[in-house]
Amino acid sequence: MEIWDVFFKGFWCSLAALGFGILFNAPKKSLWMILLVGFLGGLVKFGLLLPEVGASIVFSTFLASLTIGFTGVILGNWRRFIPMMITIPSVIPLVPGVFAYKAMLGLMELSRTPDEDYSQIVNQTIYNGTMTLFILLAITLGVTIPLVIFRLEYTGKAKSARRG
Amino acid sequence: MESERSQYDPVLLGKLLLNIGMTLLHSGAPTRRVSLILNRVSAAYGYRIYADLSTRHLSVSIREREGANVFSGGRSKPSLPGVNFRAVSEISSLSLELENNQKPLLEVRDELLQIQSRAHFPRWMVLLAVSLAGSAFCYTFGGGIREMGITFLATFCGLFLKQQLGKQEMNTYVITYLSTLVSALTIVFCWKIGVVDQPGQAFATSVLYLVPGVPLIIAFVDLLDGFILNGIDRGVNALIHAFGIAAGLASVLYLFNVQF
Repeated sequence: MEIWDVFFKGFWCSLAALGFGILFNAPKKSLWMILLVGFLGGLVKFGLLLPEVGASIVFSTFLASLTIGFTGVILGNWRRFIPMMITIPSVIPLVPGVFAYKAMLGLMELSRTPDEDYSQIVNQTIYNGTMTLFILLAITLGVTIPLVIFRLEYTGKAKSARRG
Repeated sequence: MESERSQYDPVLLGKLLLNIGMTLLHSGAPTRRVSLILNRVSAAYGYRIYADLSTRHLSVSIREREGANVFSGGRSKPSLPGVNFRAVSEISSLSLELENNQKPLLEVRDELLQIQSRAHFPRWMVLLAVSLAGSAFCYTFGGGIREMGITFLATFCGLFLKQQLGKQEMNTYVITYLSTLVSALTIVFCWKIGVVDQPGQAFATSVLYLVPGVPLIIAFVDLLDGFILNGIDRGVNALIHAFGIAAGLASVLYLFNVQF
């Protein structure tokens, strides 16, 4: 039952990725790749978050964006698309919108005279803010590692000669 | 070989490179990619270039094989970079094509102008697709069918305003703030008339279309590639957008005293 839920969430992630692909004016031929890569990302993230696996949200987001990064580079190189056009729309569904929202609400709550609940809100806000930061970091690192560290991107013939 | 190369006017090539570079910088290409494409095109015509790349300015000097400077020029564009992946992709393919097969520069210029004039996706399609993406977000964050519906509506209204204001060349941060305001107000309206009881998820997901994902990721790519200044430039740009979103949401939450 829960496995189907993961697939369903993956499906909605891929739809969200497609929306962003269209917003960023990605080439028409790359749209199906965005759908596929976005789906894979959602599958990995929500699959790892299942109670049976029990991974933390930062780790599962990191692995999901790493999956997106590598599949995006492979598909991009295959059709000579720039991998970033596939990976960026696909990782946007992983953005920690709710954490960021709660962190902001917490900050607003903190701008008042302290009372007995104050330390509770401080804790919550720091937790939400840190999660936002680390998830964003996990996303950007996951996408950039295949590009920057492994240099998997196709950059034309004799690439070493032109990298100055 | 040399006589064959002399048919390519370095001044025309320089102008072409400046045009290509500026288009790429303003379409959301990382700095290393822009530098790579400029070097690739100039090498295809037998010249070496020295380029100074910033996010809003580009200078290019072209040298012959002997080392003599044959062209120096710069170009600036005051507006902040947008995103147009198709332009980046097509220019990249064009440069790969030139690497294998030199074309007359005038022909390349015409192709470039064609790439620049090619239209985006139709506006209604962008609106519908992004609104659907918004409701998809809402689902992945645990929203039900009603929350998804109002997120769709809020994203639609906000993005419509963003497109409209974008035409009037308003400050982009103000556009982000105002679009957030409209999206959040739509959610508040639906909440007040009783469509949903808990607007939390809808609030958080209705503004995700404004998240500066491209500048944020490109900022990291630039930083890791060693283009520190460009990376900081893009990163701060993304942060101000994020601040604009937070400010827009905060205004509405304060105004209507929304509890969470």
